[in-house]
Amino acid sequence: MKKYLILIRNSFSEYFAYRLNFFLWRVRVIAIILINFSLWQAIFRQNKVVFGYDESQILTYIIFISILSGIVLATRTERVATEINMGILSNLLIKPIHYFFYNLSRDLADKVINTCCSFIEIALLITVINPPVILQNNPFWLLSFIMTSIVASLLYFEINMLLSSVAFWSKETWAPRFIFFILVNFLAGMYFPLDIVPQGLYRILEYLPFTYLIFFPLKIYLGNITIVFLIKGLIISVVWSVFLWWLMIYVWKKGLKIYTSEGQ
Amino acid sequence: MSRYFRVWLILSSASFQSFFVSKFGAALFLLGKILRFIFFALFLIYLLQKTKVLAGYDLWQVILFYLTFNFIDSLTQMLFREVYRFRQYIISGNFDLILIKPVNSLFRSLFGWTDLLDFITLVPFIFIIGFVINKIPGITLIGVLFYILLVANALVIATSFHIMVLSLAILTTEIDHAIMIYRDFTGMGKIPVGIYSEPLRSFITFIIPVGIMMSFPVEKLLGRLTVESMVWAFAISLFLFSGSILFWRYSIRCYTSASN
Repeated sequence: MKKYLILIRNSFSEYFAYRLNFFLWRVRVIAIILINFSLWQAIFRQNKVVFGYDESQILTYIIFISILSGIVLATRTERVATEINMGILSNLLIKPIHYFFYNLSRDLADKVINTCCSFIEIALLITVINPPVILQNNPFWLLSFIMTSIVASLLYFEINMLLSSVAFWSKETWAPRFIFFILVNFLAGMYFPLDIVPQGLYRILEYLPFTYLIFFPLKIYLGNITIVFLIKGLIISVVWSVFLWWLMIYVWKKGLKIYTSEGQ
Repeated sequence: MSRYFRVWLILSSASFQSFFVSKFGAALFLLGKILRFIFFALFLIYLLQKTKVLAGYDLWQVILFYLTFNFIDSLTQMLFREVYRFRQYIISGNFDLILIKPVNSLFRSLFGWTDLLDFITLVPFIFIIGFVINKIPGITLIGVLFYILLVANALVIATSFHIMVLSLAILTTEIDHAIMIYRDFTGMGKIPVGIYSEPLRSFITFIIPVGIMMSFPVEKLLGRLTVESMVWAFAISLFLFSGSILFWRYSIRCYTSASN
């Protein structure tokens, strides 16, 4: 356990080695929130309710995406592909650490830093622009939000590890990741709550893992849902995470068999 | 001038060839760009079907703002893709090799890599913009000419920002996100800047002139831009361009080739 704590501490140090870069990254996060926030604010200047959502619900959804992105989407697993392609993986495989836990530790450090920064930024944004934000105080919905966020983090880790495993077979790892980022942006609900799309399309989205990365936890945070929605979502997301865990291990083992440590 | 055009053609030809080294990867990147464009366009269409207007603009007008943004963004990325790789030249010390070549170092750093994928998307954008303009009533030929002029003006502003990012790379070496911040802020121009509240609207019109770059061409085309605003637009782009050249010269003087 101690060695993983040291890994987390080292990951923190890496961040603070390039402070300006980190500061600029956070500026980017705020800019993205402001774009979405302004778009929806403009829409609600003319309409009281849009797609069944009122202004406070949508603006809360948009603002809290920042926090949830810190918890769920912050990851360093893209490095795994580089480690495979450059042969650096060999150095890590012979060390007395579990490679998946090694990556989970790096991810945890990333998530802690991004989430803490998000809280500070959101507090500042709320103070400056004073939007009508819903602060959930029902312990059941808050607990469900935390639980589904953890499942979402696991899902995101598994998908990213699978994408990085492509490096065992191909040098081309950025292109699939680029497509994945775009799919996450639109199909996970980064721009809008997914249930505003036509019902037929939403019924398909319900069965995809992307839905459970951002939309599902935030919908729970807003609280305006039924128990059936919660249970159905939990079952689908847990089934996906179990299946993807199995697939991740299977693909990793297959990959290791053909790994040649090229470049080392 | 013609010598530099020939150099650009040679550099572009080399960069185009590199895309064919990994055809599958290039195809995936192109697919990603198309998906990103379509997804947001569908979102805007779906939204406008419900709300009818957005900040006083109807569906076709909002689509024109979005298309103009995409055209300027793709053109900029096509021309200045080298800027995204510039930090590596600085931290590896390879920038020295650019400085000793008989080509202007700023020209080489800006135009060293032409993005084929963005080049491919430009032609369809021109046709779609033409189609959408045809759908909007009251468009005049003078309006179209001013639209083209203001798009060219946007390109001057984009060039200035890319020069500033290059200069920043020389001075700090920590610019991974600087160019992406520029892109995030210009991304605010996907929709008319009129929808943003103050003080954000003034900030993205005059401090980081996203409004001048992305919204002014369409506003002029729709007859909603005053002559005074147009004069301001050209003055600001001239000021930014001159400032960026001065900043570049200053950064070159500070370059120490420490990594080499």
